Amino acid sequence: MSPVSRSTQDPLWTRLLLIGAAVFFLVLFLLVPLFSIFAEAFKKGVALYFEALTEENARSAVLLTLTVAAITVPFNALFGVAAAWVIAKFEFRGKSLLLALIDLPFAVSPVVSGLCYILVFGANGVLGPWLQAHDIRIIFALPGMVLATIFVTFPFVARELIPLMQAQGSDQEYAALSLGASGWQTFRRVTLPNIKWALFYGIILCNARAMGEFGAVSVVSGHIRGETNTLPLHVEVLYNDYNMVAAFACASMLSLLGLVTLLLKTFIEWRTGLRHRHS
Amino acid sequence: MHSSISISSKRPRRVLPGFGLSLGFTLSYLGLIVLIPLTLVFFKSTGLGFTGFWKVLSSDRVQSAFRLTFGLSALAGLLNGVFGFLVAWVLVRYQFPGRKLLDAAVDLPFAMPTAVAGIALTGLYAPNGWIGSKLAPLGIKVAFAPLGILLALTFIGLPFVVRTLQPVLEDLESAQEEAAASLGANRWETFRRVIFPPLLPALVTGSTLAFARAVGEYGSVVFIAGNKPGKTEIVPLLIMTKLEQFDYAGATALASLMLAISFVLLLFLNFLQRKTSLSRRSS
Amino acid sequence: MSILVQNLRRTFGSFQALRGINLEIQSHQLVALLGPSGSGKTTFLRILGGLDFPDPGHGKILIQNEDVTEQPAADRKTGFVFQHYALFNHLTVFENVAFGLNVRPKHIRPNSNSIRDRVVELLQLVQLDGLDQRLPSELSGGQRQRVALARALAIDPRVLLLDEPFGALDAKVRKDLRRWLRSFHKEIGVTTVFVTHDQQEALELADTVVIMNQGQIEQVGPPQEIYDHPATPFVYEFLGDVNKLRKPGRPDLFYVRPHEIQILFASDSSADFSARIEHLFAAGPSARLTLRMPNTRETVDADITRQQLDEMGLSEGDEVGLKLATASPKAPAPAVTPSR
Repeated sequence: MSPVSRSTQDPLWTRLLLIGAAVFFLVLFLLVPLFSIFAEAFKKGVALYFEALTEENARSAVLLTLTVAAITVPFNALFGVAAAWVIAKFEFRGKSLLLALIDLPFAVSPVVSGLCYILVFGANGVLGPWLQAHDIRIIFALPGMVLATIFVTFPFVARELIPLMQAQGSDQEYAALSLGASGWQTFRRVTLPNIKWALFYGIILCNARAMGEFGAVSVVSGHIRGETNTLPLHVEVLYNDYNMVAAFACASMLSLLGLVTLLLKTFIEWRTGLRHRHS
Repeated sequence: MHSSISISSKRPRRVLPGFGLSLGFTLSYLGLIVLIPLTLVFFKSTGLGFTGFWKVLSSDRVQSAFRLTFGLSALAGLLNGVFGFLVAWVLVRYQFPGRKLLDAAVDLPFAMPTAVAGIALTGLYAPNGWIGSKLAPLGIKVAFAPLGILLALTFIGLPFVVRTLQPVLEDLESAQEEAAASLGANRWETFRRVIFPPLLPALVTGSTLAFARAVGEYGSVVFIAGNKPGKTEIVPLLIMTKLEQFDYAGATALASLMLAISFVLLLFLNFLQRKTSLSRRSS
Repeated sequence: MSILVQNLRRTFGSFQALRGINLEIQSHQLVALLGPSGSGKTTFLRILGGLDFPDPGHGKILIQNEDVTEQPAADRKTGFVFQHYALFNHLTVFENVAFGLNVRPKHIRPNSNSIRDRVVELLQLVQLDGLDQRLPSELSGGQRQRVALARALAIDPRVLLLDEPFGALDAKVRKDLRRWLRSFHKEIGVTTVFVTHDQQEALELADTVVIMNQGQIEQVGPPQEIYDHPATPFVYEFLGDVNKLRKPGRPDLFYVRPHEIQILFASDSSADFSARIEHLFAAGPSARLTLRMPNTRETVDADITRQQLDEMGLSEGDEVGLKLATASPKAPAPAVTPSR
């Protein structure tokens, strides 16, 4: 930002008052809760903290969370690249409708997105009887949780790539084609290097949300301990059991994930000089 | 400019490769993952018939859940408008130690899983928590009361307003402010007449985003709400409860109404964002 | 013959960008596509390069007697230089120039030594030797332009297509690069077509100038011929520095260049018009007069020699007589209807 000239500088007392109010608000509202998670988690000592994290149900919850994310994120990254390519590089009828559809998960309640899979795959769902006859479990099992997570997190990569690719235009791709490159070579050697940071950024956000998703997964998980509980669901179970130290210990792991995400995000913004818009 | 024209014709031939493949993949993915399941929600709820639908919606429990959800979400949107504006203003306009840290911290509600935020806020504001225990003697009950729900909804919505406003604030030209000052306007007049009007669309967009997010929020609210039917029960939780009681018809009816509201909000946001980007470009 | 274009049409929605282009371009020529913005010149260039295609069934393009109308850009071997260069930002200068060779299928790809030799040779040709490890962001505008040129030449293009090659450069660099491109073209001899909206640039640089307007070609010819014998009123006005005047009592308009107007004393009976000197400025050997015609209130520019100025002792406010130099071959343009 350019230095503010005197005529547009606010008086000192205004500045101090506003800065003070904002800092107080942010600290109270954001930093104190974050701090309290770690404080509660370590309340009864380090030993109990690590015991809570290494206990069997916690370990299987971590494993399930990682599994869900490991399936969800690549799919959504692929979707994000395809959607951004078609939206940024081509004109076609219904493009703005497609753009609006991509935003849908931001407006739909996670509980509703979970519910719609129950209507498809649940025991009373459209495909329920057929699935039962073939002994395929989707709801209250991994596939359902993956689907619900995909639903909630699919816009993240696309939302990062679309504005960037629109701003970059297509001249470099045209140049590559006129130099004899094939479509795939053009994408891999020209487009991909140009979007790699935004792609990484989108993947990080998508991953954070996928690992932390609660509502949608809660609907389709069935809460079977040690089997269909992801880490956030495990936190709920522990909390409802009044096992506060364990609940906050697991929550602190998820908070660490959030903090690492923020750190990487800030790093990318610094590295690329990009200031990102959020949705 | 030229390249955008040259591919916008109805001509079958496209120069860049992969149109069919990427459009096909995008549409199938959206169709299978999103559109078909969501359509099913509407389809199933029509099976209820109008009277069945009305029976679900007219129950006292449902009505008070809707009142609570939308009332508190609107309030949270407003609060976020005020606090978000303050935070965005301070972060963009002023230099002070710790500014960058606070700027990054604004994204905490995005980055922290909602359940984590839920138990953290509950722990703090419960009658025996750090903050709750200070408020209890004053007769203020936060956790397990509507105020707690408002707190959680405001928490998760804060980044929307800040992040929508920041780029617009950064784009404001200081020349306009200088012109206003040179024409004799004082700081407040300048703010009111020159600075604030172009920020308004972004402010409304941000607050609406926060509102939309709040309406559907589940994870951060369930812990702090107390979930007393008719008092502190929000709609997403009610849907969840109905599902757990195997009342699929009731859950679907509520879900289809929520979904319809989501669509309307999305349309409104689309309209707002188009307006914001237009005014940003022309300024 | 290098390029032959027949009856080319291109429509965007309801907008006709090109309405029937016919053009022949001889080998080794440097050709300028000149026209105002929206005249269709860039669309035409992109279609030549395979970055756009004519309306189906409307037009045919031959490059070195091969029908390339339906050929995709990747197979066409036309070197295209973009207005903003479109250099690959993540690749070094070397890698940019080598790109077209590196993406060839294995069986026709040169080995890495001959690629290196070729790139070094090209960088020498465009006078960028030693900068091969720089990134595009570390180069000046003129240097980027030359990297883009070298990159396009690496594939041994049959024709070289340049879109507004100097459009993004400042005036000084523009002039230097223009001169350099002229001699560069002589050296490499590749048939080259460039798009410009600057008539000065087109006339100074090209062997052949193609003037386009509203999706059509107005005139094709060597610069001198185009300047001396503009075929249409549009060409006359677009080439600029021209007066539009009306003879007293007649509806027809005439186009007259400032140096084609003779200045006489007001008393001279052979004058066609009389006018008053409104402004007078002498720089170097010639002087420019701005004259106002008393009856039509129009202004006319005229160039005379410094010597004549001094001999006649003219100053602002003087009444003079004007005579159109009808004896010269650059006679007034064909009359046009006043509505134009």
